[in-house]
Amino acid sequence: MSLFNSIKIRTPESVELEFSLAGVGSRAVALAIDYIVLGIGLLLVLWLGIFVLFQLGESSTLIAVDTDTLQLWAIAILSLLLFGLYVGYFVGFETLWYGQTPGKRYAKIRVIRDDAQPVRLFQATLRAIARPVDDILFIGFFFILLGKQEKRIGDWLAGTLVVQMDSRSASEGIKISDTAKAVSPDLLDTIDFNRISPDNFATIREYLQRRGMMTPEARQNISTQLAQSLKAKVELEQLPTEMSANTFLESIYWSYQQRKGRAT
Amino acid sequence: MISDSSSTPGPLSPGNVVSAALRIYRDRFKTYFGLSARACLWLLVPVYGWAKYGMHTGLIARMAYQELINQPETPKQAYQQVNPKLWSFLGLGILFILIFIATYIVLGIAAVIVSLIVSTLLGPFLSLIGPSGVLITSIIGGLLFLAIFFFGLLWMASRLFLVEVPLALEPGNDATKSIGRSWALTKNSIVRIQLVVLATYLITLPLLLLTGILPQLLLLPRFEPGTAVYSIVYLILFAVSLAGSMVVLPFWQAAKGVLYYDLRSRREGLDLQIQPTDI
Repeated sequence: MSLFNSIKIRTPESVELEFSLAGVGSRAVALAIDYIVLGIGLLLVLWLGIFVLFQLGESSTLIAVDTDTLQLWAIAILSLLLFGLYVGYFVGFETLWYGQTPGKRYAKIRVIRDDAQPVRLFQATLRAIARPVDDILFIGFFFILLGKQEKRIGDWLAGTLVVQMDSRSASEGIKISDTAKAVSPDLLDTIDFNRISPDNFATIREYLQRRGMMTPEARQNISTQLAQSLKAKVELEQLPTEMSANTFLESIYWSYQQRKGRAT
Repeated sequence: MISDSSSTPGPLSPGNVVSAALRIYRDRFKTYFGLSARACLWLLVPVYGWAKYGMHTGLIARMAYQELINQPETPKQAYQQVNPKLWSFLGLGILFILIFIATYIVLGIAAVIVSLIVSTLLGPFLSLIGPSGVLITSIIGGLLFLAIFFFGLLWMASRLFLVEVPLALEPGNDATKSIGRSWALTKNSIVRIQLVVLATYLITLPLLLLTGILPQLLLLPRFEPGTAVYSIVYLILFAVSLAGSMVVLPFWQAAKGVLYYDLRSRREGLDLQIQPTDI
């Protein structure tokens, strides 16, 4: 059972790409965050505007200008600011951040065009124009839920898709201790790294990336399990030097990459 | 069968927790809805029915979790695992309510103390501004009071969000142990959990509006209370809203099952395995 819908796109350069669609959950999360951020922004502007109006009302003239005129100006500017913020939030962020808003960035999703190109001002504007329609009576929600491509009306109009993005770079957040680096040459000499499949390597990398979030107990258990499975796989009976399971995994990770470096 | 790390998804973003739960529910709609309908009807029977209700909610979460780790169970298989703990589910429910009553009391006392301290400390300075200073002081005090209550309850609700799932899934767990497990798993994940709750709620909102909130707000006031027609309309609306709850419940329980999986991957590396024998 695949949990997420995916879509194949042929780019203008005739390259076929496969994307996972964002899914209704991530879009709901993104929308909730965006509306909270936008709501706070609108409130702040409104509060600031009212504060200015209040201050203007206190005195009758300011720098020889009648404050009644100034108040009218302030109201006009305030309304424009509020409107601009409401409309500009989605258009601005989606255009400048290549299809992302703060909410989408958190939810790790992105708007792209149907041909996988990044969205521009034009598409972002069309999506924003249709947004109120999509929001009324949850119309957009039903379109996303029932359509195979998960497009709301704004997406159909603008020719866009919302997809998940691969967020983590391969080696992000992995720290290899000096001890692990030091034992690496020994491991490279004793272990046949061809017995470690790319999948196994990916699991080790995942562990090293995520161990910081784990409970100490789990870290202990998982590192021991992984180390023992690996030792069995490479038929290593005795470690070249004594080391903890954690160091062993770090060193395997490090050596695996060094080995790749050597080969090319 | 032990699942391979490549075939299970690993940690999920809050949005993907919700999407995955919805996908699992949609694919097994008939089964889950049947279980949910039974659960909601049991709720009408005091004590024994409440235990049954609790057990069914755990059962649905369990099935969603098993689906996710590629070891799906039939309702019958899951039932055999969960049913022996029937009374633990009732105990869990009672403990859950007691903890919340205690939380209310503690938060109330804390909120009163903090807002009093803050207003006595700030009061003298703010009253220098003039009469508006007093108003500002009481507004700050009131806001603090509400904030402590709001975030305190949110925090407690997040930490106890998963209580019935470990009871339904982990062998040898009783009610108190399950609460401990939920407590341990949800540590540092309050925002994540609240986003899952928010997104799940948003998705169920159209249905809730249609079956519960709107009819009661729009239809009911049109009839004279105390008349026979009113009672009939009230009963019909109650039935409709119950049906709405039956549809929504499995979604929440599936979300809890998926979240349990997600948090166990994060905190315990559930999905990280290497088979010594594979190629």
